[in-house]
Amino acid sequence: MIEFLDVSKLFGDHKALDNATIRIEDGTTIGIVGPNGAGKTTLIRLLCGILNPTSGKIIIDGLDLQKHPTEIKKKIGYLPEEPNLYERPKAGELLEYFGLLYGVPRNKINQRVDELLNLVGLSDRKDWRVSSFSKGMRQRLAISRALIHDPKIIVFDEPTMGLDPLTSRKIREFITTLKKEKTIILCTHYMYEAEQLCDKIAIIDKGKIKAYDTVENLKSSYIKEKTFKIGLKGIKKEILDNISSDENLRIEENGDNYLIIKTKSYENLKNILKEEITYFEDLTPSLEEVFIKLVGKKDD
Amino acid sequence: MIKQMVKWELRRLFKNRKFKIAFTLQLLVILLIIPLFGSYVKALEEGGFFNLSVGGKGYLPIGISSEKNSLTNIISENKRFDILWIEEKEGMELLRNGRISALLVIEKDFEEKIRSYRSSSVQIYINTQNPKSVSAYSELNSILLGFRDGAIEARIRDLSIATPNIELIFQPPTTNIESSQNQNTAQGQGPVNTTNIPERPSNFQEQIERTRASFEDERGGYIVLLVLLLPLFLSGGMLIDLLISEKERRTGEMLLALPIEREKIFYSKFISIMTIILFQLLFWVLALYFFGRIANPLIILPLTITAILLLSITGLIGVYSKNYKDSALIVTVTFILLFLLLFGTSTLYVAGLKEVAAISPLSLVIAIENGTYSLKEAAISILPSLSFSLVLIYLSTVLYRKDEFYFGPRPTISDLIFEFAGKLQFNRKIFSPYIISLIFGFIAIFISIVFEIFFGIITLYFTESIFAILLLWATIEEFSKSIGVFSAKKYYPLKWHEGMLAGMASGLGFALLENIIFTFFTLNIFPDYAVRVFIMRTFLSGSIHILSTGVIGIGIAERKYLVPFFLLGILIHFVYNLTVLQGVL
Ligand SMILES: Nc1ncnc2c1ncn2[C@@H]1O[C@H](COP(=O)(O)OP(=O)(O)O)[C@@H](O)[C@H]1O
Ligand SMILES: [Mg+2]
Repeated sequence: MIEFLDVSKLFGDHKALDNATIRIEDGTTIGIVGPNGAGKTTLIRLLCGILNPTSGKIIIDGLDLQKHPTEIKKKIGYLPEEPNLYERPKAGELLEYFGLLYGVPRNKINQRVDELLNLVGLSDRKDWRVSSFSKGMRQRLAISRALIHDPKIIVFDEPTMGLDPLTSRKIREFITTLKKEKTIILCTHYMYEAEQLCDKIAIIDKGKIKAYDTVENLKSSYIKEKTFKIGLKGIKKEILDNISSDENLRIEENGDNYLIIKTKSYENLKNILKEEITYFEDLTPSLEEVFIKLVGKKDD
Repeated sequence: MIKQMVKWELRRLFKNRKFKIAFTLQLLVILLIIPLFGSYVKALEEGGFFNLSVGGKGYLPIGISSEKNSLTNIISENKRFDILWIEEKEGMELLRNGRISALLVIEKDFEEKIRSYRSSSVQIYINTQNPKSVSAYSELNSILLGFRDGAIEARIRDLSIATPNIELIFQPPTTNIESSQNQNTAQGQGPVNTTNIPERPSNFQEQIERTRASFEDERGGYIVLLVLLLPLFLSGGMLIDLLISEKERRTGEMLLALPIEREKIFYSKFISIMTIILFQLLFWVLALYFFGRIANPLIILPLTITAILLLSITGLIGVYSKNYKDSALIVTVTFILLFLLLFGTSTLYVAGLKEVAAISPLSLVIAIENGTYSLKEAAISILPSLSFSLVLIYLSTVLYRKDEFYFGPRPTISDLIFEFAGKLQFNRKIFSPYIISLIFGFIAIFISIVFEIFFGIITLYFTESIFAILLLWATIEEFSKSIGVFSAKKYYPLKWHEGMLAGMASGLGFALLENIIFTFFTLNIFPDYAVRVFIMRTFLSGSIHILSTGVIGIGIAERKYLVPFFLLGILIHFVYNLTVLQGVL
């Protein structure tokens, strides 16, 4: 369990994180989303013990991070926002070095390095210098570096930023495979990424945590109605009347052979339309809408 | 963990092309210097640099009327002399004709007399109309003096008389070198007086040789330093590189996330470079020792201390600087100052001001080279630098633990001072500002000492005015003492009288510690006076320190009077310094 209790971080006079309180259960995947400069990276750095909080407490597995930094840091694997690696060493050497620093036993280190390189698809590059790696390869190497000591908590800061769609997808798939047994904290400004991967999401803006809940709860509490596009065999007067008479249903758009309807529940709609439905699409806004509602602007 | 990191850093460094190039370059420079340096030292031994006359081999023809003995052996080693072995009469004739520039007449049984510690005399004749005579005379004279000192030293050692008294060596009652000047010939007489000493077996040849050589070797040893400091200064920059490259390439974040105490990261970088320096020092010292360029490989000890001093400074710069650009300026300035400090003090050492110069570890290098070091001298030149280095290393780790030095915004030096002052508040009691000032007063003495030596030496280089130095010192001390009052003012709105009290507290702290240190030294030199000195100083200089900083305190509390009161404080201090000086003179 990770607990942030009233944590603030000031840079000079600038409050990068403002009285954040958040609890993360073991084994869950948490998304931290927010626009640029919201304080996501700051929150994550505090969690990894890289930054010291100006005030407040961070408790991980019952231990105060300020008081027991080395014990706690052993449990955390961290992929920084700018995963800069040393250029000169070979990929294998780099992993081995960090493995030893994280306390992986010397006799297990080689096996662990091979395993990880295999996992991120870099086994054939073990003896290549980091300087020869492409951006995507670097990111994968950086991820395996973060995982070298098989940490219980894994923290990714914008893992897919600036990567091509294919590599991004591979990385997302990789994170999905980790989900089963780890606590994952994923910081991103791609809303669909968070929606796809995370159990719970914290929306953060200007250093403040605006919301923290599951995707469904966030959607249902910020989006009162669902939107459906319904294709019909033909739009009969009778159907339109039925819909209008139900106060729970509202027609947004009336096409030649389809309707866009807002409603709290799909069941109502199904009862009225029954066999007439030829086509069905859920147009309910995504998490993105929640985000825009909360933050008040669309992030680029 | 540190071991892992050190290994890693070393491997990185040795594989680094930049490092390889630097190392090769260094090797070339030093290899080049060795022969140059060899001929330089030779030239020194032959007096080529420090005599005004120019000229090389065999430039000075001289006549010697004597059998070959240990003295003539030494003289004939000097390549600037072209020696004619002749009778006294014949020699006088040649001297008059200007064929030789000096004539040396040595007593017949010179060797035997000297060996049995009896008096013997040597006469130098010169021709004042021959310009070469002057340099021949000074050359021969210095050899004779060296020979005489060596003989005396040998005598003293053999009789197990304690360390030679300086006055005894330089002014034995019967030794005076006269040059009575006639029209054509002038005579210098340098009797080597060793009367009334019973015969003893001796290693005397060696003694004489050593002392004679030491005269030139102090300068020679000085050059050894230049060669050996090269790797130190080059490697000092590498520590900055290790520290800053993590910031510039943003790789430090991975290190900060490691389950390691932060200071260990700093230590591992420090140790890596220290290892490289030790490796290089060992290499050069052994090489130079092997080639006979240095006499005692023990000089590696003070050089290591110098390296630690250098690295503790560059380490602090590396931790403090944001980037290379930032560090470049600080490093350049610091290196110049450090170079001046190290060389300044060792110049003082060579120039004879051994007591002042002793605190530089480089002076110990020279002393070891000359075989004249003592344990006390070693302690004096090692302990201050070492403790200063440890303080700096500690400071570096304190800063390194702060995340601001990696992520920014970087605190200014005054931020750091004020932060420290904030910790001394003791829950904001009414006396807190005075406690802060008092503690800063203690610290001010060390700040003052460092800056006083630094700028004192520089001022000495440019002016020789003692007034300038006294004014400088008064200013430095008042500035250091005022830091405490400024810090107190940061946390408390001091009224003028409170400012004055805070200033007085700072002055008190300063004076107390200064007196303890001063008394400690007096206790060493004049134990009988120590208590009296302590009491006198406590009342006199103590009250001056309290008064002057009290005045400045008023200025700090009432900002609009800051400048006049500050100047007044410095003036009081300066006038006191002057009075003390007058008293001494
Ligand atoms: N070291 C720093 N010094 C000053 N301001 C900083 C520093 N780090 C972050 N900030 C500021 O704090 C805010 C939060 O930054 P960050 O946590 O990096 O945002 P995000 O990761 O959400 O884009 C930003 O306004 C940023 O400018
Ligand atoms: Mg960020």
